[in-house]
Amino acid sequence: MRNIIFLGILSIFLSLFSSGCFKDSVAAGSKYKIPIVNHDLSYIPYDAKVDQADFVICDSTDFRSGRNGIQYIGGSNKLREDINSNFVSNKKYETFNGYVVIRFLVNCEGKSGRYRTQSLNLDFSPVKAPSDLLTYSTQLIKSLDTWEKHSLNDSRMEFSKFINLKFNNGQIQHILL
Amino acid sequence: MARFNTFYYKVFCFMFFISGYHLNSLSAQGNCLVFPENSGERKACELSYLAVEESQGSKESQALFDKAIQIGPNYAWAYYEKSVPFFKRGMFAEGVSLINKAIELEPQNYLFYRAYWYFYQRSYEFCIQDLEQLYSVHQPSYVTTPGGELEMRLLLAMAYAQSGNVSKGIDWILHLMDKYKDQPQLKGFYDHFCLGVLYYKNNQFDLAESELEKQLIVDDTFADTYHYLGLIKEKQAEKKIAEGYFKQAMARMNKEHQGHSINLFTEFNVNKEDVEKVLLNQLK
Repeated sequence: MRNIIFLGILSIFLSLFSSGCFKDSVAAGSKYKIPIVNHDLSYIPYDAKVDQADFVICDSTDFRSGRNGIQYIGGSNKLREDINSNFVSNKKYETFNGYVVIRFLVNCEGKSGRYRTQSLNLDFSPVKAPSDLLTYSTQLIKSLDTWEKHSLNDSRMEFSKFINLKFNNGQIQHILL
Repeated sequence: MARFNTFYYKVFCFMFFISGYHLNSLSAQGNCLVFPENSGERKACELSYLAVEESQGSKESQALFDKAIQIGPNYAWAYYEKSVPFFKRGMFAEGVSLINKAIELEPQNYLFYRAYWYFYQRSYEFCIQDLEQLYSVHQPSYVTTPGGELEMRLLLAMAYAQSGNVSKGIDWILHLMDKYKDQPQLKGFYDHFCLGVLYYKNNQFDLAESELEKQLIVDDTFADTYHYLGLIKEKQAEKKIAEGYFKQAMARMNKEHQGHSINLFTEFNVNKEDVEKVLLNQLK
């Protein structure tokens, strides 16, 4: 009797177990692109089409990406002020509601380079930005090239940084650092 | 009788174990032994554990996650963990593609993480969409931001408030507060502060003051609480008391009395410049 009760309970739970715990062994759908990156994610590899060949990288395996590793001279509020005051709105941008994300490196010499820019919808899916918004935004960030490393010990360290501009009807609504 | 009890004790232990097996929290972070030996999931789980031992975002860590995903494509935690360094480096398209896959496999465990990034990148509508789904469909009892600072319902509430529906935000926090009646140990460090700020935004100043006073009992070193109390007193034309609060806020911004401030609240954050500005206005 004891064994029957035990086996009964066991079979009920195993039936639940087989239907709910493990998913069918199907391959990951191609619906979602799985990014494969063959380098440290903080590093941005050289691209002869867009990058300056003389931008020095001391160690591509030792890039830091923390928010506070490098700072804009004058601080975050000054950076926001400088972006806002230098951004000239354009009628062609008015349809854009989403993000322009600019990534770049600051090398061991303290210089910035390897700029990469991408435009995204508000759900982070890639989208084509209107007109020259991407190049314009990149040039704007490049022009504010005054970065300092957080401490003297960091002087030879290399960093990656990103600035996310959130647009609402073609106007910068938020500068996210 | 003793034998009978021992038998049922064993049965209940077994039921408890199996019930735990059905909780996705187990598969979320990976007790690899719950997966059958030699299965793709078991191998993916083991590889993912090796991956998180490497430096986050390193080539080695990413390679291990890639291998895990290849071997066990239905093991959600690998996609989630692989997504983290992409998000942190501003590679949002790649990060969201990975977390979308994790959510497809286990929405109950990973919706919070996508919502977290939507919230802090000010995509409030998408944050609301994810968290409404999380709480209406999956009904988790307690989920926090990845750093554990805020319960996710506080983010949902603030997202509603930022989208113009402050009352709905207040309702969500009150709903959360109800849970604390039975489980007071779960109350977070900034819950009263969030509710106080939302009441303030909703022009319910007495309720706002009451919540912020409660926040001071939880923590009297947080500068932002004093700032909002000052704003309330300013609205109530109690200039002298307001000034006192702003001075207290500034002292804590300057790290006096072990003071601190923290940027967890997007547009509800207070920074030193905000306090300086109101203090200057007081002098006029």
